[in-house]
Amino acid sequence: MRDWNALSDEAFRLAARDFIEAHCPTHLRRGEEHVRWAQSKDWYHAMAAHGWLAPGWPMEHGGMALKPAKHLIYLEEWARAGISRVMEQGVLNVGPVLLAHGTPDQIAHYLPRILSGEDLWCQGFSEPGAGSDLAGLRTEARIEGDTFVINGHKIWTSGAVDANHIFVLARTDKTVKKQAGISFILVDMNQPGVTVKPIVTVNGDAEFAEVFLDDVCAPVGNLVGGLNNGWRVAQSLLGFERVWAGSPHMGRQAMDRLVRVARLAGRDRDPAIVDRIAQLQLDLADNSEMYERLAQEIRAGHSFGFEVSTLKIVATETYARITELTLEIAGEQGGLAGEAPFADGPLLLGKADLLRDYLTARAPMIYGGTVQIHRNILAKRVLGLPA
Amino acid sequence: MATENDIVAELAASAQRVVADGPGPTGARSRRSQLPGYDPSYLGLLTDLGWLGILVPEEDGGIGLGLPEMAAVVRELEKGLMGEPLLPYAVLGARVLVHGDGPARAALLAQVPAGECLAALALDFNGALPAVTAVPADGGWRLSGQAGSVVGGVSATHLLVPAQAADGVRLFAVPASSPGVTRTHLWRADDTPLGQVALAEVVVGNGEVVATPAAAETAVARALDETRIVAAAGLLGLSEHMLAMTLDYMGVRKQYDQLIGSFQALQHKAVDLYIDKERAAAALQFGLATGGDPATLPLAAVRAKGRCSDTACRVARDSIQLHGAIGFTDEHDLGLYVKRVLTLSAWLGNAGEQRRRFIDMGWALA
Repeated sequence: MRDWNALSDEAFRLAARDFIEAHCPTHLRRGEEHVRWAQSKDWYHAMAAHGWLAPGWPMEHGGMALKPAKHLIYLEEWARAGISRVMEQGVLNVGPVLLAHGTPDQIAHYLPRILSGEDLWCQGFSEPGAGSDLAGLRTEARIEGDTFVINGHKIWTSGAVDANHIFVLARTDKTVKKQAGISFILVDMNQPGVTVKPIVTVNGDAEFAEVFLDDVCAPVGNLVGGLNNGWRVAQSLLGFERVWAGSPHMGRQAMDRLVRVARLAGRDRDPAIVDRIAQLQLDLADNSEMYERLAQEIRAGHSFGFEVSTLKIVATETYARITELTLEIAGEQGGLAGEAPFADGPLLLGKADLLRDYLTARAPMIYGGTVQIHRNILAKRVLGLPA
Repeated sequence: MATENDIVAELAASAQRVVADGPGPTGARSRRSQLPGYDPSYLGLLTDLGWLGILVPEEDGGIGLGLPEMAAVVRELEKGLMGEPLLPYAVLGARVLVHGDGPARAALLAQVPAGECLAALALDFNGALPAVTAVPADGGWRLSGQAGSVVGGVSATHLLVPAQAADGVRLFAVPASSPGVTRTHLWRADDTPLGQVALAEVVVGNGEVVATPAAAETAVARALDETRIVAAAGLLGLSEHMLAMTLDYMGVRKQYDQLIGSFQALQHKAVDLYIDKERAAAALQFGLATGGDPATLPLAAVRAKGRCSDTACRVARDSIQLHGAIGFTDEHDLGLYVKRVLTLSAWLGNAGEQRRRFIDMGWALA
């Protein structure tokens, strides 16, 4: 195993770039778009084979053990290459959660199967009645002998159509305050009682699904972090990666497209339009400056706090505004699905189109806590406003 | 040895003490529509603290610190409405002198730290050079024309006048008491004076030249951008202060038997002000990080002054809204801060003007 942290930042960046260019196929360079396992598995296996799959895991478990500075660089290189997210829940969440809260048996069993791609995980948190108010979840797990019997209905489960395992938050005690009666359980989806029903999103993707659990079984040994301790386990799961949600990379890519559309549509000489583009460029630049300040703190090994909520709000809202102006500038062509024809030639964005960008940009303001929830957090935790 | 950051922190702490010991909004209220727009004894304090010389190089008799240090001072002083007269004399006037190449430069600059030379740059509105001509006369020059926007002009010892001569723009240091100089004033939004200067055949010698045509316009442009960054720091300080006032009020004011700070609609409005203030701080940091490099200074100034002006205006407006009717009274101090924001944001180019410069520099479609 290589000690990546021993490289200089620049050498590591070049190594990451070389690896991506050599192994990541062009059909995965679709930015925010969701890609199915059948299209992405070769890339997943290539990352695993060359040791680039698990940047945050320790080396003894097959990870890269990247320190935050290097980890950010790796994420930046992914963004620069426009690589779509692949089945990531195992690497991103299950591995770190087990390393922090799991038993030695759980670690020894599950981690190698994540790296091999044998186990593909999805996250069973949200429910129809428990979105932003996640602790209100109603899925129940009752113990019968040495088995959890689970009943409930999960929703917005990303990657569930391809996954064969799901980690579930389920209520195991209804008599206590809602956060105190939840457990974190690992569930094999390959059994009767598990029904996956795809949800087609507004932009036509089948990224999400509903997962119905009817008398689904999991051995009590699949409990992670102790009975009724699931809320705390789930809280620990959103760590370093939260920072990335506030990075300006989505906005930058959208801005590149905005400028191209402005030129193609001949609006790059329209002062009213140029003024609005300038404002968004300034917003993006200052967002980047804020993000860079946090990244410096992280590189210096300092902890971070609620500034990630601030960054998440400005990054996602600016990204959305950029796609809105893009569609407006495109004029009547902005109302077309697919590639938009302009007098100077069609706007070639690969499979993507303007409408899709515009719709895709709605999602980051909702997932990972809506921007309104993040405002609630800032109001209470940073501004100290009364409840 | 003290690091740069230590000095910035120390200066900020000193400025906080000056504000805490100073007359604050009460003083500002008592000075409204009074000349010269600041307490003359405060000028003495600024001199004693050495702050008039922060931006004067050591070899010219000053302290030789940079924009970050001056920005830290002004950011804090504006929380007590005490940024004047540091901005016109110790920032804009001093920096124009620093960038000069003429014979008057050294002697005047040496007098800046002690407050003996209070030099105000004579401009027209919106950063334009004034309509002043210089005609050779008796081995010197005769200046005629008007300058419509001269902050600090009413109490300056010297007016730094860019004048159009046949061979280009020359920058003169005109003693304010010179025959032919007429000074009047308008009142700015915060009821401090904006000097207006008329020059009628004012005779100056070659020794009064601060910058020759080779340097004059660049000297003015650089000093303006440097001042924009310091003014941006002042606007950030004002934003911080108004937001703190507003959050305090939201934590004590009750309606419907509840603190208004518990209402989600108002919380989200306050959070948006906080976010903008954080972003303004980042833009200011970008502005200060260029270290005064002439190549990057214009973009640094555009981003810092534009963002901080925009943010301060928004925080000002929404602070009035979140205070409700009391925020609309003359009695409440919030209005003094709002008017200071309107004054500083308009000075040397508001957010829209900075955005126009950004476009002219080619950054919009970059």
